[in-house]
Amino acid sequence: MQTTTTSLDAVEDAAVLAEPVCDDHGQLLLPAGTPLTESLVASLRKRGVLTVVVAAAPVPPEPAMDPLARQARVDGRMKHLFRHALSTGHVNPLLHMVSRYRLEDPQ
Amino acid sequence: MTPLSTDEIAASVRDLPALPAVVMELIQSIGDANANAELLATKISHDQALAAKTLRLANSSFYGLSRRVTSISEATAILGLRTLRSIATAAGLVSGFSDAACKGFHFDAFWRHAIGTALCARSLAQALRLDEDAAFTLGLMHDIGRLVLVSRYPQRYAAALAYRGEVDCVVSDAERFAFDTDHASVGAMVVERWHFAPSVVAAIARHHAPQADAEESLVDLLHVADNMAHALDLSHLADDMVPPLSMAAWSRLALTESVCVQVFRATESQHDAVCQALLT
Repeated sequence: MQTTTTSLDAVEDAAVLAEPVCDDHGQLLLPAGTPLTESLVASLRKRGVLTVVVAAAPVPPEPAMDPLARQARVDGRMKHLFRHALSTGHVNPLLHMVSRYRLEDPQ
Repeated sequence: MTPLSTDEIAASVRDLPALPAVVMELIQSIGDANANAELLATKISHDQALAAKTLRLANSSFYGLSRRVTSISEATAILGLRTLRSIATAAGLVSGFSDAACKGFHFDAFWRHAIGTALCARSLAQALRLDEDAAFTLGLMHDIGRLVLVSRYPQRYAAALAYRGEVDCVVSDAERFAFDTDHASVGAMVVERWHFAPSVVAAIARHHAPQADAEESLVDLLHVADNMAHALDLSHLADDMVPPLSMAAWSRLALTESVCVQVFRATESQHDAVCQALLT
């Protein structure tokens, strides 16, 4: 699990403690895994806690590229790689094969 | 720029620093059914650096072993002597050349393309029922003439690359502009000097120009594998260019699209693991 240390002021809604929070005497205030609410944050602040270690927000998956944009990107790169064949009129069946493969098996 | 004479280049090839003796023995034994592979395996295990890199590649996901091998003898027992020889040759070749101070030449990109060609060649050989391990080694070495030109004549090679940047031509044309020869001819001189089998020398010499009317399966295979590796963009070089494809060679191999797609998939799925094992 990726974790991040953050100040209490910057704790985001629904952040979950990745490490327990203890006071200066080592007494447990909140165990790891506790979802932080506004009232819990206020309570920690009253006890002098400045920072907490929370689970880093998961990186949102990259939005799927629009099929037309993907095709344009593949076409552009293929035209660049095969520019010798395209400019001289040489036939190269790999141009179309690799283009189709790229569109069907996106990396 | 005054072109270099063929004699001058041939002299450079003669003066090339030798690869480690065990690597030379491995290279020379390719295609030799009588080679004492057991003895070669023992020699590999005596070269610590070579053995370590060989084991790293043997343990990479490329070979898909179910458990980690920790010695050359164990790798030999599991993978077979031919495959072990191919792995050790790859490890020895990649370590045998060091990066040269040549503006515009990217050493890692060179090997990424060579490894891509080796993987395409191996996969094509599997489909065509040819020797997969020999095809892999051949693919890895096919542009070795470039490394020789870059390491012996870095400034002149930089001029060739600058010319290529200006006119956007294939690498061989730029080399002929600066050297009056190209990496395929120089590579053939090198492997001939290393006493490679004539079929390997021919494949390296003609990998950009297979003969129109003579079937030479290794030449055709290497030519198409090189073209595929460029087309798959495996060097990651922004200005990479797919060289002209010989339709005679392409037709002789009679590859279907589904076979090509299998080659593309196999190559791309293994490329990172092999690059990591050999280049780091």
